[in-house]
Amino acid sequence: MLIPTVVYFAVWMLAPTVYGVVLSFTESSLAGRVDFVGVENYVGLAADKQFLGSLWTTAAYTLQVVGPCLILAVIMGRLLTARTRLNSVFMTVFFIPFVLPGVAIGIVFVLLFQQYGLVNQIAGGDHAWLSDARTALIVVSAATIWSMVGYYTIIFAAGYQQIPPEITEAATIDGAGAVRRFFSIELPLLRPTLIFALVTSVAAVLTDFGMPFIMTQGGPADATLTLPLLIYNQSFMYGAVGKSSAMAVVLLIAAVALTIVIVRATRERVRRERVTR
Amino acid sequence: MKRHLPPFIGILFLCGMAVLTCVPLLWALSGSFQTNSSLAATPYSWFPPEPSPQNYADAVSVGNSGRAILNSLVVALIISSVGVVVAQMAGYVLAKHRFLGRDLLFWTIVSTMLIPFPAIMVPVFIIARSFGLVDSLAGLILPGLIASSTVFFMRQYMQGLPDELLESARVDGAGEWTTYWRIVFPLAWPVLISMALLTFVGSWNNFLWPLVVIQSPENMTIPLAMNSFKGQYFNNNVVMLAMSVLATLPVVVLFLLGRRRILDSVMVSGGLK
Repeated sequence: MLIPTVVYFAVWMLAPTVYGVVLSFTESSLAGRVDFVGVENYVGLAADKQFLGSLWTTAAYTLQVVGPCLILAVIMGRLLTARTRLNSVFMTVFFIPFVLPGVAIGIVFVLLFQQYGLVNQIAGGDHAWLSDARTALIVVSAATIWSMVGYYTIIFAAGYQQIPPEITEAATIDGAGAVRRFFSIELPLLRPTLIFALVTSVAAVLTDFGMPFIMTQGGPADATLTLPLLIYNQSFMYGAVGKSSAMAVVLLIAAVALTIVIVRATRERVRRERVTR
Repeated sequence: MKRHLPPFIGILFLCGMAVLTCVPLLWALSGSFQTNSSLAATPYSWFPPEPSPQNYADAVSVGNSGRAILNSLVVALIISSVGVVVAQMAGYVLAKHRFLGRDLLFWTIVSTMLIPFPAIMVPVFIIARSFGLVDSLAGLILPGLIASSTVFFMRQYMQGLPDELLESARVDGAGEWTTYWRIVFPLAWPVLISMALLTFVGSWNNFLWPLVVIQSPENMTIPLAMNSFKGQYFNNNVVMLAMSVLATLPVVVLFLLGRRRILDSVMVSGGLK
C-alpha cells in the first residue's frame, strides 16, 4: 500500500531534484546534449544582470505581497472572532478568491487596470498601469494579495479560536485595553499560526509563476521578471538548460533557507522570552 | 459607548473588504455580457444595455473552452480520486505500521513540500519525456498525482484512529487490504472528501506544469486555453471575461457545496492541532 507513494516521490520529486543539481554543472539543451562544465554556470550568474535583477524583483514581490497580506489577514481574522451572524457569510466571501484559477484572476486584473479599464474610469485617469515599469509590479502584487488574503484570514481566525478565553478575560480584568491585549497576549499566543502563515506565504510568493506570467510576461523592461519566470524563459524559450538549472538551484536553496530562517528566528524568540520570564 | 464602537468599526471594515473582494468578480460577470466597446465606456454601466450570451458562444467555438473544460475535468477527477486514495493508503501505513526507516521515509516525503515546482520543472519535463508523457493527459496527471501535504495530513489523521479497532480486525483474520477497505476507509471518509475537494481545486487551477507539458490545443486544460486565447486574440476582452467566468464557475460551485468541509480543513492548519 505504501509502494505507489514511495515510487511516486522517488521518480517525480527526489530524482528531479538530484538531476537538476547535476544539470546545473553542465551545459545542456532540452534536445539532450549534456557537457560537464563545473561551476561555470554559477560564476556566470554572479555577473548576469538579468538574473541579479530578477533576484531583486522576486524579493520585492515577496515582501510587498506577504507584508500587506498577513497584516490584513491578522486584522480580518481577529474581527471574525467577534460573534456575529455575518461571520460565515464573510468567511465564504473572503475565501472565494483562493479557489479561483490564477489565470482568470490575472486576466481580470489586467483588464481592470488597463488604460480604459474600470480602475481608471473610477479614478478618472488614463494611466497604463501595467505598461509602466514603476507600477507594473505593484499591480501584480495587488492581484496576488487579493487572491491570497482570504485564505490567511481563515487561518488566523482559526488561530484566535485556539486562544483560551480565560486568558484574555483575565487581562481585561487587570485593565488591559483591546490594543494592549492584542499585542501583548493574542499576538504572542498566535505565534504557531503566524509561523505557519509566514512560511507558507513566503514560499508561495517566492515561487509564484502564474500571476506575473499572465499579467505582464515579466515586462515592461523586466520589471516583473521574477526568478521562476526567468527559469522558465531560459529553459523553455532559449533552451539554456544548464544555466536555468543553476538558477533553479538558487531558487531551491532560497526557498529552503528562508523556511529554516523563519522557523529558527521565531523559535529563538520563544526561548529567550521563556528565559527572561 | 466605548464598548460598542469598536465592533461597529470592525464590521464596517469587514464589509469594505467584502466589497473589494466582490467587485472584480461582479465586474467580470457583468463584462462577460458586454461588447468590447461598452466594456470601455465611461461611465461603466454595470448592467449591460443589451445582454447577450454571444461571448460565451465565442468562448466555446473560438476559444476552445468546451474541450478544455472537459480535459480539466478528467484530469482533476483522476488526481482528486486516485491520488488522494493512494496518499491515504500511505498515510495509513505510515501511521499504523512499524518498520525500519519508517520515520525517515515519512520525513523525506514531508520535506519534499519545501521543493518549489519551478525549481525542478526542467528535470521533471525531461523525465516525463523519457516516459513518452509529453503532450498527453497522462503527462498532466502522473507527475502531479500525489501531494506530500496530503500524505502528511492523512498520516496525522490516521494516528488518531484507535489501535484496538485495527487489532481486533486482524484477530478476526482480516488481511491488510480488508482492514483498509472495511475499517480505515469508511472511518476516514470525511477527511478523504475534504482533501479530494482541495485537490480538485488545485488541479483545476494548475497552470505551470500544463504550460510546460502540453502543446496541442486538444490537450489543453482551461487555464491553458485562456492563456493561448489571450496570446492570439489579445484585444477580445469580453470573450476573455466569458472564459474567466466559465473557468471560475465549477470551482466556485464546488466550494459553495463543500464550504463547511473545506473551511474546516483549512482551519485545522490554522489552529495547528
